[in-house]
Amino acid sequence: MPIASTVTEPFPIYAIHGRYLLFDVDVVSHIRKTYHMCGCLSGTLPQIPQQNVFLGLPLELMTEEAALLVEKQAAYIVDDVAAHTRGLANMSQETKTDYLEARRRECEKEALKHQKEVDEKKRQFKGKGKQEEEAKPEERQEEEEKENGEDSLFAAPSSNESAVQLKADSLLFYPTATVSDPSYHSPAPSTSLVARPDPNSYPLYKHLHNLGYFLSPGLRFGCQFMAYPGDPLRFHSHFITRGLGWDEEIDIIDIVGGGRLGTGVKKAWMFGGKPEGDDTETRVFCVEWGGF
Amino acid sequence: MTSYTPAEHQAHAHLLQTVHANLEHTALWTSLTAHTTSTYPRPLLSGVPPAPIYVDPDADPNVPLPAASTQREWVLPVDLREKWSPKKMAQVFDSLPAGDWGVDAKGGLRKKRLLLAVVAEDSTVVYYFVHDGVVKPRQN
Repeated sequence: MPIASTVTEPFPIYAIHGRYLLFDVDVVSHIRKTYHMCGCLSGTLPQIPQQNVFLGLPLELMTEEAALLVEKQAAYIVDDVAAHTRGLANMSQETKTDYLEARRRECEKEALKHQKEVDEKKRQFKGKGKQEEEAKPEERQEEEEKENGEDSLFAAPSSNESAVQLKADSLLFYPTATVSDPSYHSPAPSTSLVARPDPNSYPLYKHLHNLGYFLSPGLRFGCQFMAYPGDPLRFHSHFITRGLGWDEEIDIIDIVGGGRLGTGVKKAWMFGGKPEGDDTETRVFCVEWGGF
Repeated sequence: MTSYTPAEHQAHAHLLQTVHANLEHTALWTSLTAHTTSTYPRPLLSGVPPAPIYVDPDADPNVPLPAASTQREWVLPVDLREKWSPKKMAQVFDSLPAGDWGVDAKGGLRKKRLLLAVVAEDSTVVYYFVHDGVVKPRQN
């Protein structure tokens, strides 16, 4: 069932070290649904980086994808490192204290809630124990004594204490948000960075994207982009593509190689470029083996 | 229509001859015609293969294929050592007659297509279909 999108446009794309990243899962599903862009999941487990079969957030966008989103005014690019440093530096002392105070209060509330739940559980458990005790009094008594002894090892501050106030060394729960506070990525869209895709292949990307194809990086198939006629989870790709400048030369042997590569994986190899002039359409050519 | 100099055509006469011979005697094409007027940027060939060589990927397999004689194919002979660009390919396609390229299985107008005949130094010829636009691959 589709979930109503809560993403507000333009949303930020974080540029870190020349890579365009998205950290918000809502934005990730939004661009897939609305702009048929899939990007590449690139996050692994910090402790086990060799686990690279199932990757998660952040999602890395191709330069072309980032550029097109900015062009459609759906997103703006934030230089994440600079914006974060600036956000921290510009924070006034009052804001800082307020923020820290609010955060502390929030944590305390969470901790108290947690404590209450633990107490409630304990109470229930003891009540249950008592009932059973009535049934087999002599056996249970010993066990309960033991239990109580063990309990005290793990018990956080005893119940009556915690209900009133928190001990200084009690465990506080600090949630880590996946999305940073807006104050850290607040530059106006006009001053944001600009993605500069390859001018020779970008027109081809845009042309196919306009036709409704899903495009993904083509390194795995030895090309620039792979073009899927629908969501890559539902379709095999139809084309493996190579974008060229209008006058950029390509060896015939590369066309033969491309045609052979495409036919070998049941796709067509496509090359093309955009003629000079702003209003002209990108021309593409599909190459397949002749069959004889 | 753009006019091209005959010098271009003369420079590629040997390619035309090799591909013509190959199509006629190896692939058994008929009605082979050389197109060497100045409306074409390069010498081209057209002919009729003994059986249709392009089958629409969405065509109903129960419907018999159209007669071979109705499928006239255009051939562009090139040398393996050449360099091409999207511009040159577009020029060739623009010089092909606009007329009737048939309809595909879904009823849409078919895009122009030609066979790229690549001639290697040892006179080997390989053929690749080139379509003018986005055309679904035959096997997918």
